[in-house]
Amino acid sequence: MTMLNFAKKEVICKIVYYGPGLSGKTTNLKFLYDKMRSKYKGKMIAIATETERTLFFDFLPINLGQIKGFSLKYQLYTVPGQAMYTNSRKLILKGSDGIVFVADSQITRFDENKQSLRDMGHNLAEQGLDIRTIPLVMQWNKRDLPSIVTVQTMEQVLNFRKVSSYEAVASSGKGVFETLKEVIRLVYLNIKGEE
Amino acid sequence: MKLSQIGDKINIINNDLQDFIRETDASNIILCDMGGEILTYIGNNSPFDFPNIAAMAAGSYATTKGIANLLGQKEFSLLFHQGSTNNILISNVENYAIFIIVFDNSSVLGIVKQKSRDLKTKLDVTFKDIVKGKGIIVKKAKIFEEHKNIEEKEEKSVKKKEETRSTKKEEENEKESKKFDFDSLMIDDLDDIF
Repeated sequence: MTMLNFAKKEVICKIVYYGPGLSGKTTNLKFLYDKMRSKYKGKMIAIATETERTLFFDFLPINLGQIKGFSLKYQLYTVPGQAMYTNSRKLILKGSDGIVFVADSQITRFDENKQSLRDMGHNLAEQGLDIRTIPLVMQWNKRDLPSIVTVQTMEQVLNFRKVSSYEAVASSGKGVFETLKEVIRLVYLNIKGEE
Repeated sequence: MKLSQIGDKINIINNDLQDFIRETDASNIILCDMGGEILTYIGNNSPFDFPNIAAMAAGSYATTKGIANLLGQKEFSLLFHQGSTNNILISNVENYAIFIIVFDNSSVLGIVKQKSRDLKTKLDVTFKDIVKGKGIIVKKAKIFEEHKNIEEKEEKSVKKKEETRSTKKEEENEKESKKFDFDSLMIDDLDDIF
């Protein structure tokens, strides 16, 4: 749900990075934080355990662009991917405007992608959102690893909406900006449409 | 602290928790690690979903710790959430674990708070024993650490750049061109869209 702050002339949108555990959601955010100029970014908050697994969420606010005199603020969140934090994921998905699904390309992790995508559909439905209409971008992460599923298969199985998808290596930053750019574009068009 | 590290000492912990339940008349007590994985739980048969409560309480504790850090505090060690019939009290045992006490209105809040402090010191002693005995190193949970690390990295990279500028300008130019320029991709393109 887009938030409008008339006093400050701001539009605040929420973008959630979703995906199975260890697929690289936090790495995406870290890279963005690392490379973005300070005038666009806010403070990154990472709530993680001692083993650096995300416990509740990571949060990165960024300011980009304008729409009819209103400055656009995007709040990037990641969810904890592990199965046990399913209720935390539901909370974080609440009121999201756009979603980036970060899939792990490794053959051994392929089923978890499917499971996570199904889980996302259920969780969105509980929040009154529809997985078939919400702005969505797919990211095929970890393309640099040796035993990976082909892009074609991933498109066939996971990209049921035929939305834009990007091959990525989040640790080196390949495809990270492209994904963000696309989701921002979709969210923007969605707001414009609603308006 | 993981369950595998606790070993036989789990009996001592269970006894402590049982004593606590008897003294305070609380309905349940859950002990979990900082990531929300249950180590043990004691109490009467309740319809509550303990694994989920533990996972979310750990998230809640970590988030509150984040708020505490923003206020310049190390942590808020005791969290109390009041409901109409059931209440919850969350407390940490240093960096080892957190315990979650579920109690209804028949228990007295003051007693639960007081006894929880006693329990905290008891558990702390037990955990310290375990750590000493096995030579386990307990790391602190990371909140905001990432932010600091990245800032440090930035500072270091800036320093390195300054050094290289003086010596190898050509190489530096190459690096600059290779480094992703956020402006070129995001802002211009977005302006086009708008």
